[in-house]
Amino acid sequence: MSAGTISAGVRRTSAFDSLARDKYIVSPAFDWIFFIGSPLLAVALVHFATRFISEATLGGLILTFMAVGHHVPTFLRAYADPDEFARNRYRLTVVPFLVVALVALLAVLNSHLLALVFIWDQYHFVRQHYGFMRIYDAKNGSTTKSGPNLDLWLCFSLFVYIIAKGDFYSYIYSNELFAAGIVPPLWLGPLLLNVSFAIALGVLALFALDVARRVREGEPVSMLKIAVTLTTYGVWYYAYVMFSNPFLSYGISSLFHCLQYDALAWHYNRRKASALEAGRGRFFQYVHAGRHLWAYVAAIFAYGGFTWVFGPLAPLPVFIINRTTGVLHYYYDSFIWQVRRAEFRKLLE
Amino acid sequence: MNARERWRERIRPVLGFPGLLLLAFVVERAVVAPYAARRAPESGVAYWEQQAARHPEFALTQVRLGMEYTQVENWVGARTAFERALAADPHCEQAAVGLNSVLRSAGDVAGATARMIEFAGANPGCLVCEQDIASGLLLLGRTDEAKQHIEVVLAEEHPRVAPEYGPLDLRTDALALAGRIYAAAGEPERARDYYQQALARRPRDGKVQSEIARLRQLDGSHSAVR
Repeated sequence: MSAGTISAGVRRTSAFDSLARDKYIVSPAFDWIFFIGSPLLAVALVHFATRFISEATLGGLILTFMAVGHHVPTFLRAYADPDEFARNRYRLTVVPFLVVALVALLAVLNSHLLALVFIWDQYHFVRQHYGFMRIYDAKNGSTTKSGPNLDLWLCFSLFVYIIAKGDFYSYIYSNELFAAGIVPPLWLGPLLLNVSFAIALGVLALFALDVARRVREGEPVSMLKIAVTLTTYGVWYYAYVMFSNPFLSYGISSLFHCLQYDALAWHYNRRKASALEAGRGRFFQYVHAGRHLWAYVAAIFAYGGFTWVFGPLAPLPVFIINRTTGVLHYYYDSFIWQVRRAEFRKLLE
Repeated sequence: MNARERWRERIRPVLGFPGLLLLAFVVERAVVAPYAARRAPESGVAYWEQQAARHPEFALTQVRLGMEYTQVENWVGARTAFERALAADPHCEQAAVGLNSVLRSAGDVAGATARMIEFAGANPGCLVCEQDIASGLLLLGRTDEAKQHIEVVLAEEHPRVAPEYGPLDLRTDALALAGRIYAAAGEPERARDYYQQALARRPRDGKVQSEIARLRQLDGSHSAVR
């Protein structure tokens, strides 16, 4: 056995040790199923389901029951948690009325602006992943100043590269922008692809150097953060670039995004509900009590079911409702989940 | 913090986000939409030709190019694009529907319908395909077969269609087509029933109104003969 083999073995042991030492958000099994492994699970579930139902139907089911349904935990968090509501009382009271009025106006005028909301949808996918990176870092005490920015650059450059490389999103962006009257110059796609690739490579190199420095200096490195990044971006690359299916590429991405979101919201809200004094936020406490998991899941599927049943019957009103909750979901998420907030960190301890 | 500052602190987040949405709306209405309306159809062809060249293996990009060719009545280009889309993805129903429409525009109703029957057989569940088959068979005078295919569409009370078809009211269109098929098959009562269902959903449909009037005239002339 050479010295190289021995040192490689030592390095391997260190990585596994580090993984074993990492603090999970909930528990090893929960995290691996719902957060880190959920992208792989989504691929397996989608491919398994296509044996029984058509791609179009499956895509529609995921979009309705998961993508639309996952707006519900946001509203539970924003309105049913008395502290959260008190913190953002004005925003949570006034903004929905303004947004629903505006969305209705845009829908009636058949404005293409509403179609462009999907750009925000993509942005919030990436922000959620960045949030998981931050949580794993915070849990493992890995919080130097340079860390988060490097993570953010990594998240966005890799995502833009995947979007620009894949046929699926190139089509979606070209089609929606063209329909909206915006004709992106043809050099823009290749430019985005090359620039994002160059940035991603550079950031990956810096990221690797940062990890090496942390190991050398004995600073904590969250292996779980790296693991969730590998599964998420690996599956995004698979779904959007390799698989590139008009019905299921987004379906895979949406399925794991929603699984992660619903599971994290459940866990966090449950902690928050138990921390509330008796008598405060009774509905919030009821829905997030361990024995009432069914009520939480039912609430998500009820909104999906409403959309599935009434969407074809009354397309415009249901479209307005869905788009409004979607826009509010993206907007509320930008301030109701903040890793830097002390309460958030405390409840995830 | 005085009262004024407190108020400003509260109102800023409330107005900031809807304000941005409103601004985006004004820009879209005042700048982007008029520009899109002035766009020549040929610019769409050029744009999608280049997109299709960049992504030749992605069916929907080829379908989009086919649709642009159809708009400028370039049937050869449209046919090629739809055929390329089907080669890239043999299950792409938008490509099959587009090809069917191009072949029919060229007068080949029999060929178009035969290809569509083959596609629908291999891809069950495509309701737009079933409707196209029914209308093709009606044109070919094969009303018994047309009835079978339109009933498949009508069995679905709330059909869902892909966004590429645009604002398509498949249910109402299918009811109107069923009326025409049953009228051609010599079943005026059933035809009237379908027409009236279509009219209940789309009261200003002039074509269906005139079909009902035609049926009434036929009824009148039959009574006079009797």
